[in-house]
Formats: sequence, C-alpha cells, structure tokens
Amino acid sequence: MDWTNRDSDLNVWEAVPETGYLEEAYKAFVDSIVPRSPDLAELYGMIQYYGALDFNTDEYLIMSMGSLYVPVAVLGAEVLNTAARQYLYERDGEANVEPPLNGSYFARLTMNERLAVMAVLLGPDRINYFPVQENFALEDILPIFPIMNRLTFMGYYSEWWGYGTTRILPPSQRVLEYFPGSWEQIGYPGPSLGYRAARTYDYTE
Amino acid sequence: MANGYDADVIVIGAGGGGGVIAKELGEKGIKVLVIEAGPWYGNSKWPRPNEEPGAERGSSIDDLDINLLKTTFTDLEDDMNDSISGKFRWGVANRDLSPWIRVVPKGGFTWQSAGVGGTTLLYWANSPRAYPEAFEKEWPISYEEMIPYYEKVENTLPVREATGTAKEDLFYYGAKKMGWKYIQTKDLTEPGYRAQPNAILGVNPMLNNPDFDIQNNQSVGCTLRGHCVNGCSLGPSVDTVAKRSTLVSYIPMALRTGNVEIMPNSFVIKINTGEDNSQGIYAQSVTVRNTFTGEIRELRAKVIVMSCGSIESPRLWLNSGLPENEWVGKGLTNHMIDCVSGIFEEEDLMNALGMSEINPFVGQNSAARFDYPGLGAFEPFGTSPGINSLMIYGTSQKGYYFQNQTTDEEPWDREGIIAGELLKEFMKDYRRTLSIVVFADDSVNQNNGVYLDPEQRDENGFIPIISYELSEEDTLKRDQLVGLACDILRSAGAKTVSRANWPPDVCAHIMSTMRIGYVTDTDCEAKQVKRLFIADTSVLCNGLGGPNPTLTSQALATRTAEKIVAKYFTPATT
Repeated sequence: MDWTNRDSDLNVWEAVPETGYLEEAYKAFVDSIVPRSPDLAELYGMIQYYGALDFNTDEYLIMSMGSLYVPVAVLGAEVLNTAARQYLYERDGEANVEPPLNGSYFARLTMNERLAVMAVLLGPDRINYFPVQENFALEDILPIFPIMNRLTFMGYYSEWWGYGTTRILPPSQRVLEYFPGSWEQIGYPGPSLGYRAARTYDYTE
Repeated sequence: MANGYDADVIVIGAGGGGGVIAKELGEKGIKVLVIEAGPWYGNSKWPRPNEEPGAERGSSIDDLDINLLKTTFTDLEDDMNDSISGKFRWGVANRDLSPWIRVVPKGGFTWQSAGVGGTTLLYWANSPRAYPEAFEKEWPISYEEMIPYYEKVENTLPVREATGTAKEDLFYYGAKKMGWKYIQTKDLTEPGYRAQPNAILGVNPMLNNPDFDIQNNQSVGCTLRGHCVNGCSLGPSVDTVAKRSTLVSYIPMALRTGNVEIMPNSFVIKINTGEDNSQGIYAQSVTVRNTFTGEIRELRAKVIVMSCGSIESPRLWLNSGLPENEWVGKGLTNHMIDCVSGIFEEEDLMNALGMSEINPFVGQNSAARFDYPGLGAFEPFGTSPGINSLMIYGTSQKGYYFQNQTTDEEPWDREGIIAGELLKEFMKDYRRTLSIVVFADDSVNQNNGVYLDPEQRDENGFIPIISYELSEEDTLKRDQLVGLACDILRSAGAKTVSRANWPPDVCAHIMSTMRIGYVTDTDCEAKQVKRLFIADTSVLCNGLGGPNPTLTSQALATRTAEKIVAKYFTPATT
C-alpha cells in the first residue's frame, strides 16, 4: 500500500472544505503550540490559564495565510489533516481508521497525538506526509508548516489580539482596544517612550 | 532634464546602500533619481502612505514631517513587523494587497522591508566593520583601502559605542567571568567582547535625571525605549531621529544637496540596454511599474545603480535578460544565523546586576557584541515579545524540543521549537531571559544563491527562489560559536539554556550574490554591462567573517560614488 499520498485522491474532498474545516484544524494546531494551562494558573495566577484559543490565534493564522500572494490557508489545514490521517493509518492500519465527516483528522487527535504529527511535519521524513497538490510544487508546500509555527508566535505574543473587534479588519483600520492578555502573562508593559535605564558597567577591567 | 535624460544617475532602491550613494552623488553635483518600490514614511506628500498613492515624487527636505512619522510608527510590533501585513514588510505600500512572494524551501524566511530606508527601517543599526582577514581572503580590494570610507560613513551616520542596559551588563559579566578580553579596536584580529558600534545617537544625557520629562520629551537622543526594530521615531525632526536608518540620515542629507529626487511606490521591473562599438552593452533606461496604479513607464539616465538588495538585484538582472554570468545570484552568504537564550533566577540576577530582572524590552535592541575572527560574531539582544519569542523559540531546523535528546556534552538544555506548556512557562520568565543571536562566518559557495522560478511570476516578473545549504565545515564553525554563546549564558548564571537551531535559509543578513571581482569590476561596475553599478550588500565579496553587513555596504557605496563620478561625470568624459 502506498502511504505517501502521492497517488491519493485527497483533492476530491479537500478542494471544497466544509464549514468548520479550516477552523477546526487551526484551533487544534494553535492549541498545541500555546495550550490552556490550568497547572500554571494554579501556581502563578489565573491569567496563566489562557492560551491561543482564548486569544483567537487560529483566526490570525487563517487571516494571515489567506492573505498571501497565493493563499494557503486551506492548504495549511490540508497539511495538518493529511499528516494526521497518515499517522493514524500507520499506527492503526487504514481499515481501522474511520474517516471523520468533514475530513478533520487532526482536530480529533489527543494533544500528544497532535504533537507527534507536528513533529513529523518538521522532521526528516516530512515529505511523505505532505499532501500532493496539482497547483503547488513541493518546494512551495514544505515551507508552509514552518510559516504556521512562526505565525503562531507572532499572533499570540504581539499586540494583535488587543485589536478586539477590529482585529480582522484590514490593518489600516485596526485600533488597539485591549491590553493583550499574552502581555499580561509575561509581564510586558507595552510600548514606552523611554526608560531611565542607562548603565555604566565597567567592562574594561 | 532637457537633454533627454530623466536624471544623470538612476538609483534603484532607497535602502541602506541606495540612500548612501544618492547623497554622495548629489553632493558632487550629479542629478539623481532614486526609484523605490515601497512607501515613504514621514513625508507630508504621502499623508496616508499605506492607503493612498500621494504624490509621484519628492525632493524637498521641508516635506519631512516628524509628527506624521510618529503617527505612522506605532511601536506595535504586529502593525510594524508582521511579515504579511506589517508596515515593514516585503510588499507594496497598500497593505490590503498581498506581500510579494518568495520561495524559501527549507523553512527559513527573508527579513527585509520595502520603503524609503529599506531594511534599515527595522535593522538594529549595528555597524561594525568587517574583519580584516575576511578581506585578505577573497576581496579584490584591500581592507586598508576601505578604512577612509568606513570612517566617512561612521562620521556621517554617525556610529558610536552603544549605551548598555541590564541585558548588556549581564552579557559582559558572563564573558568577563570566563576570562574573555574586552577589545577596543574597530579593526578586529582577536576574539573578545565590546560595546556594539551602532548607528544610534547618544543617550539623552538628562535621561537618568528624575526631572526629565520622558512623556513630553522633544530633545535629541536615544531614550532606551527598545523600539529600534519597530521603527524609531524619537527626535524633534525626521533628520534627528535617534536610530539612523537611511530614512532619517542619508536621505535627508541627499535632499539637502538639491540634486536628489525620490520616487516611492515604483518598482523597477527591467533594466534596458543599448549597444555600441566603444562600450559594448550599456545600461540606458529602466522600466518602472507604479504599485498603486499599475502604470508602466521608461526612465533614462547616463548611469544606473542597482541598490535592490541581495535578492532583488540578481532577480532584476535575470528578469532583464542581461548577459549570462556564472556568479549572478550565486555565492549567497547569510551568516547561518541562530539564536540561543537563557533564563535566570532572581537571586542570580541580584548577584550579577543588583536587580532582579533583565527586561529585554528595555534599551537598544542590541548594544553589545562578541567578535571571534575565524568563527563569526554574536550579540545579546532583546525586543518586544512577539519578535523575541519567534526568534528564540519559534524557528528551528530541528523540529520541536521534545524531538531532540540533549546530552551532557551539549551546552544547551533544549534544542528546537519550544511549544506547549513549556513555552508558556518560558515566556512567563520573559523578563528574566537573555537572548543571543549568532552570526557565523559562512564561506562563499556557488551552489548557494538566488535563482528564478521557471514558472511562477508576480507583477514584477519571475519570482526568486532562495537556495542555501550548510557545508560541514561551516556547520562546525556555527556549532562552536553557538556553544560559546551558551557558555557565556551559563557563566552569567543562566539556569535554563535553549538553542533554536535556525534553518539554513533564514535570510536577515543577505550578502554576496553579485560579488565584486566576479559580477562587477573593482569599481562595482558590472563587467558585462557598462554604466550599470551595484551599491548594496549583494556586491560584497563574502560574508565579511560574520559582522553585520550594512556598514561595509555603505562604505563601499561611498567609494562607488567616487568611481562613478571619476569615470562618467568628469569634464573629459561627459
């Protein structure tokens, strides 16, 4: 059996994503990078509970990847679901894997399973887990997963969530409405006009 | 101009190199037209630079508007530096449109900005000289010949020793404790640490005075507010802004000559040539596309200078169908950048610094460095948290941290992308984290470089593909340097050390894709196309041994301006 997806017919159902297809995949992904953390909340305060799902980082990813010259938001979800399906086939055997209704293989995995799939997507064997696309060369598809990782960091730890009701408007129309929750988690006070912080360390001795 | 030319010299790109050569030529009485693909921030002729086309071109110092610049540079990192929609992105001014496309297959990215000022809009202004030994190795001109040009740029920007904050003190403390030497020379021959030579005005001498009003400050000087990367707008006028991007340094000086015009929002898509018996092939005009209207026009000049950067200069050459040359686009060096970081406990910080936090968002983004001729360089840094987290925890060629077992032999505890609850734990300690970026001395390899996608085009032509592989020998140098950076973190007291291990094709220092001596002669004029010069990082002959490349490309551009005048604009030749 060919498990490399090279001859698969994934395009048939992936070309027309059903409602929720994008959202489920991206929510599951950003939740894996920046999860909710009740344990940290108990130790360090309630603010530490919140994660990417609370700060809409999935929306940031979908918006960002859909804004590229060649939009790749759907492709990003397909990368996750194709790899998740492959992972389940290899682990359980194809016959034992029941296809989810809307193709959302990735979202139905447990957190540890998701991390295992994501590890493969950054690993040396990743080529065998990427979806084959008619309109994309492999060198166009391989960078997509690293991009998704970087975007999650920028989306979560920058001011973006603080744009509130304006956060998915075109960038020139956004207005900072809230102090971002992630900044509160890490103690970043936000932009400043200056700090009385000049030091004169004697590094010559 | 009445003689059928649109200018004596057309400079393509108003970034770190283009701004310099425009000013130098303008001062010599040459009429210069600078064509820039991105917006012009802080100029009243473009009051809504990201939304409306504004004027066609500008040439007056009186149009520079510091209040407009302060409104535009919001200090917010996603607004300014989002790679897709930020004001400092690689794309047109109108952010409702997509950024320009580039293919970076190995998981890296290119970090560049369009706009007047180019990538100096976001650079940290680090301005060290090259290592002399890097010149001796490959360059067709000597390091000694470069020194007066270095001095000229250092005095013009100006470049000075950075003022440190806690993150620098901690770095010095760790390096000193290991027995490394403090070095004071600009011309590096041995390893050691020093204050960063950077193009940032001195810290306001009143800053530490409690009576100094930071909120209503209208004076000249840096206030250590930590927004170098997000766009500095600190100063009473555009030309006195603290961080000396070319937007606020060389461009205003160029305008003051009365000989320089700048045309933003205009992408040069082709260099057109003529041919005659005396010169052979020579550059005679450029084809320009307006990024707001799509209008295409041709502009003529006696000399054309490419200052498009190390990716777009070879791309423009190739898209223009200029003569084949086996070094066009080839020989890319990028310093194989990597990041390491250490998390400290309060008690250890109290011992080292007398304070309990580092606060990486305070101070110039990079104000100290360690140089190691033969291996490269590294520097402690700190920025706003989106960029900082992406750099130290979000980018790796080794997958996630849980995929990598570390042994006692490795000087780091974790390697790879930090994800999951551990990321939140680490970022919770952001204020007690010291980050270091490592620039290793990579060698020129003809297989590394920029080539055109044979099929995909955008409105400016076939798109560039970046190809970069680490050689075994270079990987060893990089690992050695990364190990040393980790040792300094440990020596300073870090309890947890992480190595990102960036992919090889991250391009932030992008150099040597149109090398002097190979694509150009020693005057930086293209060997195969007369009247076509190059003044950007692409014409550097190698990666300089590891130091940040902007200063050297600016010094070389200063020299090239003299060569252009001598060859084409002295009475005997015009």
